[in-house]
Amino acid sequence: MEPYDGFMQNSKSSSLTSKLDAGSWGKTSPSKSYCSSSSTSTENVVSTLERRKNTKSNVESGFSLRPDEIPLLPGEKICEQARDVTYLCPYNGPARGVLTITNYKLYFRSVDKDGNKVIDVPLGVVSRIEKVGGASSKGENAYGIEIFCKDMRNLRFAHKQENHSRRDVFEKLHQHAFPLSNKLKLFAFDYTENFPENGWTVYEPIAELKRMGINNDMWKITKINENYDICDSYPAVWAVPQHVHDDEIKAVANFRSRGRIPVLSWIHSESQATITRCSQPLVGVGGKKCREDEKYISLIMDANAQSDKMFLMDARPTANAVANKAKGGGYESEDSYKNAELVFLDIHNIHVMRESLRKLKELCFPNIEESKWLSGLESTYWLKHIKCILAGAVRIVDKVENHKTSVLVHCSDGWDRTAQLTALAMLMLDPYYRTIKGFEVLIEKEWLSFGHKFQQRIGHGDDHHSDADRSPVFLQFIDCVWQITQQFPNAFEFNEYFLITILDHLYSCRFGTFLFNTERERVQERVKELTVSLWSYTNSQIDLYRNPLYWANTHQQQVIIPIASLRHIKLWKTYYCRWNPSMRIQDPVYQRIRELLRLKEQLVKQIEECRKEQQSRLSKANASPP
Amino acid sequence: MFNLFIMNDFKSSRFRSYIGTPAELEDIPLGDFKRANLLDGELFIADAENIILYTSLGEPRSYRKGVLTVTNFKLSFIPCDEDEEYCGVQQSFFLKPYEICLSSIDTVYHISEKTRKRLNLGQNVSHKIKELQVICKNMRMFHFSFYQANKDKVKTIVNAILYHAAPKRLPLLFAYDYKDRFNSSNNVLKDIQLFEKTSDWLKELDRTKTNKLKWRVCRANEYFEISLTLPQVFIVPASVEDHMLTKAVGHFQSHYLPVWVWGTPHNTALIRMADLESSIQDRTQENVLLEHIRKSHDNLLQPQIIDLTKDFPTAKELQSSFVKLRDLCNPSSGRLFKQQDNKFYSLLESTKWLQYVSMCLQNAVNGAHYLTWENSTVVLQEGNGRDMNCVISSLIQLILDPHWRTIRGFQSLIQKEWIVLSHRFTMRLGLIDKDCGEAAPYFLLFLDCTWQLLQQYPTAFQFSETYLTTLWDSTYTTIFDTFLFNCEYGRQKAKRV
Repeated sequence: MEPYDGFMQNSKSSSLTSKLDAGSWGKTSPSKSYCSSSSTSTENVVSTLERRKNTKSNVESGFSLRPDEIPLLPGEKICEQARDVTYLCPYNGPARGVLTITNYKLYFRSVDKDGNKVIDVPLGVVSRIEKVGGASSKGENAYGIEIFCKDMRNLRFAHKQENHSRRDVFEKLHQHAFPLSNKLKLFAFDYTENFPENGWTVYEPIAELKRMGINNDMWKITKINENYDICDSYPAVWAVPQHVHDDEIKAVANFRSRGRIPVLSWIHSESQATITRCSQPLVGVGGKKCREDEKYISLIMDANAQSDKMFLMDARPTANAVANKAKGGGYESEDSYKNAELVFLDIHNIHVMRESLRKLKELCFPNIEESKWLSGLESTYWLKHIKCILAGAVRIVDKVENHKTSVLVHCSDGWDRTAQLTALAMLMLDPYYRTIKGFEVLIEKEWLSFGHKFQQRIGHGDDHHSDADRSPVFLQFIDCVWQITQQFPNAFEFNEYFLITILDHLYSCRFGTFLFNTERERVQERVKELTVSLWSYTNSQIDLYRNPLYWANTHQQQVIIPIASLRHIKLWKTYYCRWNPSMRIQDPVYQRIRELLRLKEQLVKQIEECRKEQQSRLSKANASPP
Repeated sequence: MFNLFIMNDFKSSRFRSYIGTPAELEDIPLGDFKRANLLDGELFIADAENIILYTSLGEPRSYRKGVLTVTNFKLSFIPCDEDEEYCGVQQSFFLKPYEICLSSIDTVYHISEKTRKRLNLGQNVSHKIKELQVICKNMRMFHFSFYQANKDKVKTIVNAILYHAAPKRLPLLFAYDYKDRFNSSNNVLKDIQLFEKTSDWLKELDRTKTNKLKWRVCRANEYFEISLTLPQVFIVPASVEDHMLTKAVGHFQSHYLPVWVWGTPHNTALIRMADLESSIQDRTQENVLLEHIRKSHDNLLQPQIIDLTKDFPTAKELQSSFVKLRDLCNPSSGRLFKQQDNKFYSLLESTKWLQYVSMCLQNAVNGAHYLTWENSTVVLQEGNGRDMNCVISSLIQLILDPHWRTIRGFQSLIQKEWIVLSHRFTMRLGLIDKDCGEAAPYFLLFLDCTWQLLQQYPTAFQFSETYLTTLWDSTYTTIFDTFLFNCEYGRQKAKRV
């Protein structure tokens, strides 16, 4: 059927597209691909585009891959290859082909005539590997390996018992998916690709504080933690109130859980209202007090002349904050902290969030039960948790922006919910963090430098899949960011593929960015010298992540306040449901967006040239006598 | 800021009841009251000053004061501080932000301290009215307080609303009085196929490369002599002669014979028809016509019949689903909003609206599949052929034929599938007093399905969602005659008068 350009056929790309391809894809080397799977199984449009450019350059050089040949990254080595393996696709049925394990990825290429199916998964996303069936298993495809992933999917491969390939594949998979459990290095330390941009220079703590106008009369930069001995999960450089003494800082550190004292996250350039962050006070059952801590908080309050009040936002549900007293923690009593108002934001802990995501995965993968989709979604509570986090951040923004009042944020340790809240509030308050590089700075500052425990929460290279420390805290943050981009489509320089790329490399272990728990560990392990930053990769191809609707001029709202109501909060299907072909957007809209961006660029250039021409004519006319 | 608190579900309830305290309301500066502008042919009926409008959640202010006016076209509230632009919603060319066409009024409630009582449209009230809630068919809601206004004027204006919102006959609608009527020979219309004339249908046969030896234009209904529900011109298999139609027509509900609406170069066709009259057991006449349809297929394949009665919602069920959806989208208080918020998705699911949308899309995809991959003719059959048939037939064509995805094409599609093939707009939109049948939002259902396609194929359509919203708005704006009638016969009759 040719005559109708119906939705059932794929439309061909326009001539503009092919020009685009030649221009921007041609130069790059084939090795640069991260996820070169076929478009029938792929999701991350950016990587699909990358794959296209690879295939193109392969075709150009008259070279095409045999099933057992695979694209490798610099530093990547093939560790195991098994022929006659069947990939059991939950959507398109079984496909026979060659399965390759490298020190970075699992790569499957089908040898079936119809379609060249590719499955390409970085081993970093693997959370659990299980053998399915035994030597006595009967039935087709009953014997093989099942792989459970951190990114909302599972993979099943069937082996032939008589080939004895399963044992070796399983062993190598285990070794390279869980290198730390096998006394091996993470792949990021083997990976040697060079990028034109250096992502490690994106965030300079002092430069960022200077951007906000620190030092000033009320705040100062201190290097008291240069050797990480006041607080081992804090960075080397912080900003604290101008008039606080070093010995007071030490006293406060003793009164705050894990020494995480209140430090500056953000300051309002006009009102001087601040967002500061810390951990819970060590109040305990006895209701301990600390005069230095009280004084320190009042210094933060006094640093803002616009308000004689301050808000202490405790991210936890009240009951949890009370329960923490039994473990020596707790919350500030309003009696001891003059003019401070304590507010509980009712956000649940990491265990509740992990369970919620588990339910969400059950709902979304592999297949969706349509008749109960919405109520099923509601019963996972995932969107409700997202709403609570957003509502908390909105409250902080409301106090800082509309009431010119400073806010101190903490939870228990101040590295999970606190990071979500401060980072989201800053994103709403400050347009700088809504640019691509500003967003990278935000993650480097509020998440990485202030010690969100990425290693523990993600479990990089570790086979303890049921570790109670794992939790999708950072994923929730990115989800919240996506929700805000949906409500303010013109306010962000980046598109959703930027967010998806960040999440993909949160797990991949290809870059050093999200490795380890603290800045101290990263310095100790020389991460900046030995690994590549994710931002080197993104900033070297920054055009892929631009939002065509971004409106970066004076018309832009400074402060954006999303509506934290479930009526507005949606499931991020492009991320959570991307493996299911029926849940994807059916149009190649990403391609179209790129075309439009390119067109806009050309038009801007033309206008510029016309202007110049007009100007030179004018000056000529003026210069020559009439 | 007040509204931010409500919208963001803050714990410390700063929410105050909608009913402001008198002291607060008196603070509003009155200024010079502004009056509503009238269109050509629009007549003033009643007005009242000092009316308070409680604005909906999310607007920058919680109440506004102004003048309420009723004309033969609209219910108008003009705030005294009108200059302050409120751009929260898409605005109409004919109506200001707080104005609605009388035809979009669905129900009116009298609100007193503790009770909410429904007022019957078309009937008078004699008691004192304190507050009035007006719920519209297009999901809007207005809540007025009258306690500062003149009592007699209030009574007059409430009775005017109740009387004029429910006209007993079509000619009482404003479209009949509107002086600046768009002339249908106007240039604006020249690219749209109205499907009123033979030439439009011939063009459509050519455009779809349908073989005119197999399908022909039938003029047997030129003066509506065989059916009042079918257009004057329609397409039938070439082998069907006029006398066969005359003989068969009485067997079909509403005299709605099988007609060709779209086709492919392989002469697979999309056919719409009604069921046989329930009193008729003998299916011979139906079979005769279906046999002719089969013979018009290149490979003489048996057509696929899709029954759109079984498993589909009845008009009543569809309307009830819509009302549930409307209530969910328009909580009447901040408290209700909060209550609903945490259960929003299961409440949405329980309206069944999305289930109906998905059902329509699924059936349309099936139909499209038969027509293309299986190369088979599809016959859509439904009770009287004028409700779900319109929805599914339009959707199948949107899916298969990019022509309909342009703005002009979409208008032509609506003209063909909904207007000339006689969806009963008067009845389904509830334009005149209820007795004439059940209102049910079939057209909205179609627009929603189209919106879903637009979401899945963002680059496939020439129009945006704003266009779809405009279309829906205009169904209740009785300036236009497009969505006024139940059938072509009705339109022709109205034109002659």
